[in-house]
Amino acid sequence: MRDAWRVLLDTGSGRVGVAFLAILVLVSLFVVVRLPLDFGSTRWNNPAVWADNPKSAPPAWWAWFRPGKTVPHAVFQSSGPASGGLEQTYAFSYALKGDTPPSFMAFSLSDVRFSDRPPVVSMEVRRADGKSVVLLRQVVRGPRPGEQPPYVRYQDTPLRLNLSGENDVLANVGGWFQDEFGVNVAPDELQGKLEAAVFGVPTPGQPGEFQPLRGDYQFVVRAAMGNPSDSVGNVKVVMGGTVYGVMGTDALGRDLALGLLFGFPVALVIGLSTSLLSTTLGTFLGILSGYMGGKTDIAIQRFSDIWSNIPLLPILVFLIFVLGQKLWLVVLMMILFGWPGLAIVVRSMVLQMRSGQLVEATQALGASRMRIMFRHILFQIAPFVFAQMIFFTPAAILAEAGLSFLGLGDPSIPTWGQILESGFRTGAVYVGYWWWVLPPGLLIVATAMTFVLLTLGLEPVVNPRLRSMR
Amino acid sequence: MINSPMLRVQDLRLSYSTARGELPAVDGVSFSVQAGEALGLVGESGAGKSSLALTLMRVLPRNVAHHSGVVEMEGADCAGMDDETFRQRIRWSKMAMVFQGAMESLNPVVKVGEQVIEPMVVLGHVARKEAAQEARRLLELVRLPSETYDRYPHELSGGMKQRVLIAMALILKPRVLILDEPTSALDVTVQAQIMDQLKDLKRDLGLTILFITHDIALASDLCDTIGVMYAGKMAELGPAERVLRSPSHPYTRLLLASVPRLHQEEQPGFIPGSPPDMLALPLGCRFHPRCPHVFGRCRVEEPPLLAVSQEHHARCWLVEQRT
Amino acid sequence: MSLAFTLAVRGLTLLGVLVLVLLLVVVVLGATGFSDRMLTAIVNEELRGIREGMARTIHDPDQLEAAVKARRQELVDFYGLNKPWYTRLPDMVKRVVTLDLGEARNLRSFKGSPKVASLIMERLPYTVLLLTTATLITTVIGLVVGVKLATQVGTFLDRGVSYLSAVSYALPAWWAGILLIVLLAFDLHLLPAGGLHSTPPPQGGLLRFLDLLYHAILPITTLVLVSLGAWIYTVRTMVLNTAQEFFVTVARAKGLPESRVMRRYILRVAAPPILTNVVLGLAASLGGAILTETVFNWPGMGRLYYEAIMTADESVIVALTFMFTLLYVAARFLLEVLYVVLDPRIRYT
Repeated sequence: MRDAWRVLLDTGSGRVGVAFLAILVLVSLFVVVRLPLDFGSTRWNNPAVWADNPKSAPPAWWAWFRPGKTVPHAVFQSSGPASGGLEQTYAFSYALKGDTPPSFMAFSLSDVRFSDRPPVVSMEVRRADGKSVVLLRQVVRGPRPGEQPPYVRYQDTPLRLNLSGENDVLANVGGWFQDEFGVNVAPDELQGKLEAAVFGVPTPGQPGEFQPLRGDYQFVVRAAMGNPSDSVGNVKVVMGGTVYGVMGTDALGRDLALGLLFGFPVALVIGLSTSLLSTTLGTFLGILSGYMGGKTDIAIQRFSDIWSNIPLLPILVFLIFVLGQKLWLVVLMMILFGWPGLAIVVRSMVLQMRSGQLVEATQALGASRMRIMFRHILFQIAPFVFAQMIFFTPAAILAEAGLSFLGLGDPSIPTWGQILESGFRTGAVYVGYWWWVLPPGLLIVATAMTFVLLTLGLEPVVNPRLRSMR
Repeated sequence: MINSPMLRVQDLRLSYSTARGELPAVDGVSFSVQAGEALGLVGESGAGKSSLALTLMRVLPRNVAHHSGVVEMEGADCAGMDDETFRQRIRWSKMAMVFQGAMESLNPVVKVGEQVIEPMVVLGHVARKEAAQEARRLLELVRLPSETYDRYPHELSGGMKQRVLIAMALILKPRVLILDEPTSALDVTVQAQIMDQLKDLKRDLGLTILFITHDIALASDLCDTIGVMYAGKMAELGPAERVLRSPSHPYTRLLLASVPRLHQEEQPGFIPGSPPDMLALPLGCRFHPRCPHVFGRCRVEEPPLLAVSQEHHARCWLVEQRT
Repeated sequence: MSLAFTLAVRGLTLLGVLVLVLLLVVVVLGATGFSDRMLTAIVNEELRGIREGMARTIHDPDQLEAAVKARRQELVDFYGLNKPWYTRLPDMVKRVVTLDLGEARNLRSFKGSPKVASLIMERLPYTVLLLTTATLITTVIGLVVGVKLATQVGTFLDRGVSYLSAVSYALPAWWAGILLIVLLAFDLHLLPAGGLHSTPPPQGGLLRFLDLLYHAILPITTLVLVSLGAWIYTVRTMVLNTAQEFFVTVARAKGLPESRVMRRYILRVAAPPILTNVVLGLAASLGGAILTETVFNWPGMGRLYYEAIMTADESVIVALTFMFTLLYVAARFLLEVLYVVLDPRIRYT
């Protein structure tokens, strides 16, 4: 083993492979520590978590390549009011620096308590041109028949309003534009342009169009309480960006960086567990077959021959389709179908060695059959088996990715293949959402490459003739 | 008057490039063989004998660092020829080689007969039918059954394969035949048969033979001249009778002593130590660390080939002492 | 003759594979209750039609229900639903073997037929077109480049191509396809993003054919790109190993010209192990074809598989699984024949 290590570090490809592997392992450890194991079902597949993110947004650093054309994602949260008393205010500042207004405006309210009259919440913006417009006026839902004070609202699920989806907001803003600028914009026309309107001025000569108004904007949220004991917990205002995060978002607004990160340990586990177990099984049966000879040999040989002839993907597709989309099933299937290849090769190696002098000598010394088999033969073929194990790892990862791509992935465990699949299915490919489509594929390739490089690096161990040719 | 010899080799050198540096395999070897005669080259494995043969045939492996020396056939220079001329005029047609049958010397997917006629068809531009006839004749000559022509190599035994190699070597009727350990992979009875075969061929076809082996007894059976190689150089060279009866080099003596005799009482001797590392040769005579007769000068100065008699030379200071 | 005997044994083994897969499919379907569900769905579907038809003549609701129920019992008996699944096994096996593959639930062939057999027959040529063209191109390029590299081991070119081969092996076919689409179809508008023909398809035989080829360029390129790496590396390594064998030196000693040595002693001898590796890569090619067709919306069997999964059309999935195995086994057998012809050493005597 130490010999193999030395050989690995000796070759260029081996060094790169080891470096990549180290990165993979480190990132995986980081993910395992920082993200919960049920990340898939509790967070990834939970739309509420991603509600405030922009959908299908490129990464934040993309703004650097498109100056002025993008707007960053801004989230303002406050759990305590700026001023107390019966009217509580929360103030946020927002600066529009480029020519693009936010892609959406969202307002969230959580944990409201009142004893008599429900609070009234309003949001007003003072624009960069000094003019103020009230965007939203919302009355918290009043007491239901039979409900007793104190009334609690929005504790488990916050109230979330997307401003351009609220007719009152559209009417408010439309009316305000009529008064201030004399411009008549119908609510349904305003719906797609609410943000452009709030953050802009009407374009002269083009009714219904708006020019961006750069500058500082002040948002003030006022909560008017009925009683001093009433309280409003958490106020959140989101100015939707057109870019988000390290790796952007998908169509559901999910932070792709998190999804991609989670894929690291999953890929490693899939690849290594499959190759480890199928290699073990294959080696064991190969040694058994080669050493025992006779009927055992013929039986195992015929069986592996037939079994290795079964094409993997169609059978995998069928089995997963029928038995259910579970990751452990996929791994199990791959192990069950992966061992024959190695068994056949190991068997021929054992056959060569069986007549070899080492085994004869050991037999002469009286070692029991089992011991001969495992310790001595295993020792001899260990380097080759180890190299094969490394070589099989990417096959497992690629197979799972392919399966996910066809839509048969395990929905409770996000993998790179699944991220790609959702992109493909929703047509992200055809509209050029590169941040969704390229990184998962790159990661798959890089991970598979790591193991291929390691295999290349180990080549001199397996093929000693090549060692002297350096 | 001595005619120009069939094969003359002068100061042949060959070295390989290895991870540890340039390794000399043949370090200045000279000999000549008259037409119809057999020269036996004897030495331990690693002495450079096979490399010498490959050099003569000019089929050197890729990692050769350097080779030089004079090689003449019937007075005509071979070493200086360009590769293509050598291939068309000399290789196999004038000088052929029988390889160690132990290694896979035959193409495993082509029938034996095909491989035998191949040089004739390709180089000699002879029609297949005639070439096949000639091949069958040769196979018969080396006492192989006629079906051998249509067999594949893996269907033949070691001895049969060796005979095929002999037939194959003779297909273009070469003048010189080099045999590299032709019997070391075979058991004794087969070995005897092959040796008989070779003696017959030498006599009937007038072949000039270079016989390479580690077994001096075997060489004595067939050869007129014997050269003993050690550590890349010729240690002793002379007529077979002389070398065998009055070996002048201590190494030769030890070699002969190590041959077990049928009715011998004592144990056969052996040569202590092992051949030197060609990258770390000892100072002075290359054999001196293992020599039972070593003295002062041996350790410091390497002896040249000194004449024991007119045609018998040995690379040992003892020769000088004796005369 | 030993040749025939060897082939017979191999053929039997491959037949065994088919049978095993068939049994596997059928048993899994039965044991998991899947076939029960499938058949129940079929029965319900048929009943719906029957009910509609009956409702026109029978107006009394109770009478209608009774009639439908009777028909239901008939159907259940007919499909064997009231018996345990393994009694249906022989029948199922027989039907698959005779290629009576039933009807699709949702999918339809181009002409609208729901028969699975016509669906598959329609799509088969397209898949074959893709696979054989890609394989041909890959083989030719791989042989040329691989042999070239084997003569230049250790050089910069050799190392470089080795790395590229590694990348190619690690590259998932479908992602490469996506990349190519994004790059060539979208950014550069050079080639179509998928499908078989442009819309509207051109008229005339030749133009249609050219249009087809135009659309085939990207999928074939994808398939070639992905399998080329491993193939080049295999050829290179096998040729290298063979070139180091002693009989190659002997061949040169025999005075044979280098071209002949290369052909008969190196390539010819390296052919069997190379072929073995081709066989190993065959399954991967199949998987690659399935995925590539999906990405490029190429109407072959692979794409059909994807559609069947998306619409949960069980009969198509089962039929296709079997068909793919059949294709694979047939290709394997062809290669086995080739192998036995090339390598006399493995023939049984």
